[in-house]
Amino acid sequence: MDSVLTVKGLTGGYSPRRPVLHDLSFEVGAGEMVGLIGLNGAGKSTAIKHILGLMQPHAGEIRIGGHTLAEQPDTYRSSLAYVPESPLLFDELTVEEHLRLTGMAYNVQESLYEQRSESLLKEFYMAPKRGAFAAHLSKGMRQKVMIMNALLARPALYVIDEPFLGLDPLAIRSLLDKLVEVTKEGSAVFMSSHILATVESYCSRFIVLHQGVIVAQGTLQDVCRAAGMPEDRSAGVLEEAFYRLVTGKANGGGEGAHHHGTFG
Amino acid sequence: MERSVDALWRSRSAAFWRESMPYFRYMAQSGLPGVIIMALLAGITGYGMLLRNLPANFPVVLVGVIVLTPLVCWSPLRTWLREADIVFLVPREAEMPAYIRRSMRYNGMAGIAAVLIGCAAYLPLYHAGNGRTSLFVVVLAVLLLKLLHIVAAWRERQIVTAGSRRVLRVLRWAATALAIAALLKASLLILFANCIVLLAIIYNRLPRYPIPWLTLIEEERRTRRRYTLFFSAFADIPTEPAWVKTRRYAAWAAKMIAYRKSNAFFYLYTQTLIRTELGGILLRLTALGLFTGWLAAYEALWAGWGSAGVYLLFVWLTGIQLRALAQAHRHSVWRHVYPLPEETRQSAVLRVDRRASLLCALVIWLPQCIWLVPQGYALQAVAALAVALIYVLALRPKSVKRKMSADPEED
Repeated sequence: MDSVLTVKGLTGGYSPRRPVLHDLSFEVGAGEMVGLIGLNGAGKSTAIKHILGLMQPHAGEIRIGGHTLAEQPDTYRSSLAYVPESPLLFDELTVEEHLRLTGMAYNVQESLYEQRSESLLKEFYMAPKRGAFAAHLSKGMRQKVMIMNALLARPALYVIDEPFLGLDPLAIRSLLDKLVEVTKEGSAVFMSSHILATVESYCSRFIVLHQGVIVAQGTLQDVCRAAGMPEDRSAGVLEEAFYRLVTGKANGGGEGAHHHGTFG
Repeated sequence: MERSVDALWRSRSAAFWRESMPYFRYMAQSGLPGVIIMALLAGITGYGMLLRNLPANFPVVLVGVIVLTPLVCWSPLRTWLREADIVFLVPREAEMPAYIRRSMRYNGMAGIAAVLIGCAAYLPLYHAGNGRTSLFVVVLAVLLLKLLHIVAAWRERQIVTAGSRRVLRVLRWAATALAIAALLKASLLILFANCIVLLAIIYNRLPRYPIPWLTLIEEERRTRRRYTLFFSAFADIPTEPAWVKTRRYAAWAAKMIAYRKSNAFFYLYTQTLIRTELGGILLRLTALGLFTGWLAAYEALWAGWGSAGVYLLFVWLTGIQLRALAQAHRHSVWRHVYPLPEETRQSAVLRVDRRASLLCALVIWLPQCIWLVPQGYALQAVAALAVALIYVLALRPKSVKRKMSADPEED
């Protein structure tokens, strides 16, 4: 499998004296959906900011499609679409105009843009809101606009930060269907989320980030093994493994086994 | 312990002015006050000349209506209310009338002062034009109308449906414009009719809120944005989300932009200019420039040179306001995420900026062309345009560029 995103030895954060991320290394391959999970403050958003090129690594390197941002800024950025945790819309653009701007920015052919924007508006039930400004959209609708923009660009890599917050059940379903579709077409999806059940059923691999360090990564079996759990195939096992990993009960088992707290 | 709403009002008002003070200092350093004083002196001299030889057909009443109506009708209200007050202040709604009364006093005083200044400026013209109503009666009547408007505007804000609010506002303005015209023509009957209209607005029986929270929060946000936008021409200030209007009549400008990667930022900034408050301010400034330039050119102030000066002043002012465009989206994450080089953003800002300031300069020039040229002051009109074009096409782009490359990155 070709690697779309390669992170090697990434150490980073806001201040070089107090790094938030410590020596992260992972890959996301073409056609793969990888889930990034961790508690609040674990460093998930910081890791995403480094991938986007909004922050400079203190050490290590990040490559998308084999290029670093410094080497090929245009290729690097064209290969990646981002869905932020809280929707960041331009107040002065309507839903449809956001799509148009994205189409222009990502150099999507005009006929393709028209076709895709129409079908996205329909799939996300946003056609009646095509002329609405951000201020007149609910939080969930704004999030839908962000997602539609990412899907319009059809890049090699989707970086999605906590996409399900505020989305209605239909939208969550449409998003997941779409993500499956784009991975089948060969795109890579890197998604951070607290909804572990969804992550577990849709992602093929997982990265567990705790206090800026990767404490486990790989398939569900790999994560279970790192958590000191037997390889179990029943649903909900990721949550249990995650709980053990972040509470330091990885090899002790026992007392926390049936805890079902919220991680958000 | 809970503070009284009165103390809350005072601390919020003080906080606003404390926050704004540094920006007033920046504004003072920018040289704007000097220009305003010069413009005022020129205006007063020109006005004096106009008063001494007032043409018989000068539209004295029309000017009175244009000057006095907005001063009388426009009754803004600073309430310092914020979104968070829905959680924290709504439970204390019963105490709010005292809070609102403070706001009414605060804006009422300023409104009355503005009306008196407006009268002081206009009445000499009215007197020179042989106005039929005694000046004392005009001042008294205008003050009475202002007081009624302060209350009527509040009652209008309380009304539940936005449609009714809009209808009442149009009625309030239209009736008062008519009444001021009647007052200046000494027919007091229509003035009384207007007072009845205002009283009807005040005592209307439409469904209304005791405190129209959402309307007041929105109004406060708009006012703050105007201050922010004004100050942002002189200093870098934390931006608030832009206030958006569709402005359908200007939509053609964005529609004409071809769908092309190189036009992405150009498209965005064109929409920004058209739809945010910046566009609104620019439109009002252009209209004011047109009006002032019209009067100055009609009079051929100082052999046309004064008129040319007034024209250049407005071209310069529109340029000052347009500087805020470069500040837009500076902190947007998309600026870094989109696969577009930073240079394309800068050149897009420059393109939008240059076109907008050129359009404003040409529109404001129209009265100069229409009035100065036939009076034999073609040189003045053409010279003014030439200086404006040098400013718009050569000097401004350079300074905008310098400003943008001086602060390339803030994250």
